[in-house]
Amino acid sequence: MSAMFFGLSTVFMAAGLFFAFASVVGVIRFPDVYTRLHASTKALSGGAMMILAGTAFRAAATGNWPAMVKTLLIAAFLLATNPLASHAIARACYHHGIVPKGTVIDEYAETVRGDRS
Amino acid sequence: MKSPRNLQRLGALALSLALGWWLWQGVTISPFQGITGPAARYIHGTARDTGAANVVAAILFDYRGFDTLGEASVIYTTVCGVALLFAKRRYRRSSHGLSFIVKRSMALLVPFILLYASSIIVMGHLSPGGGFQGGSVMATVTILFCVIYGSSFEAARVSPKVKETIESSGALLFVLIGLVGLVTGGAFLTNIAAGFPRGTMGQLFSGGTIPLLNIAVGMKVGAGLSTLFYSMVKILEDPTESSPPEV
Repeated sequence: MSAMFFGLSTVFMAAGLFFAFASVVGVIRFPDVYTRLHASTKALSGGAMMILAGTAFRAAATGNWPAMVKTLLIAAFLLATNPLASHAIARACYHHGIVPKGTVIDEYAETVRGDRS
Repeated sequence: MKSPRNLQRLGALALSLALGWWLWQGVTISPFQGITGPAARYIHGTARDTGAANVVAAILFDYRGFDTLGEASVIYTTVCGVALLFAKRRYRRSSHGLSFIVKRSMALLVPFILLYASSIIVMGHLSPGGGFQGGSVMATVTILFCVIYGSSFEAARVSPKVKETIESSGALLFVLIGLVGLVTGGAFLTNIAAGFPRGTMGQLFSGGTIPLLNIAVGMKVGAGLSTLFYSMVKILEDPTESSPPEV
């Protein structure tokens, strides 16, 4: 049981590192603010949460249950706040007048104007 | 190939490597080797002198508590000055805040942020943190209220009078705790020697006056920074009144 938890934690941490690396590459390579925001949120909701899950498994492997619960609570807090911040930034960018690159249909603009009511 | 962009990348690479090496040193360093002079005295004597597990908090609120009173007074004076200078403006709605999603989620998160701030203040003598840090987090909550719900919201819920009262009573509490030392025949802000219980190191009730002073400073800093922010946000007001956007 303990060895299984240990292996799982390693797998989760490796996946978290991959997400963090991919998000760095995305922030450098993507063309405009929305796609970059999409990439940068993965550093937290993919990378950090995976690593926290790995830490929780590692704590469970050593029988440290309070540490596991704390880690999972931190992950839940990140899950609640990270989309919130990204949503606020993206919305502020849109209302500031930044048009997403390569847009063909913009239903949000129609909703804001009230065309579709 | 010696374009400015490549030079920039080279600089970034060097910076990353230096930062990585520095962090690695932090991971592998042995904390108790080669410490001499005053630092060794504080590291070895803190538990005996104050009963606090956090050496920084012990230095801040016991060894040099009088300095901390001065620091907190600086914040107090700043808040008084800013509030005095900016007080005469009329208060109007400056923004409608962010979208519905952010407003709802913020409402769910506020209790947890307040709990976190309180834990930073109350556990200041056990773990990293203390009155200044926890008070700042607490002020952040009220600033977030302004950003997310629009600036008229927070003033309607927590009146400036209440914040002023909290701030002043924090300052008063600090000085009163200090005066206890004088009453018992010691110096101002005497901790263990004035009869405050030392407790067991690592327990919540330990460290004598340090937790109490943390709470006093937390009240002062939290209410003070919040007042500071709301005194200045009035200047940035936009007098246009319109209905808030729906999406």
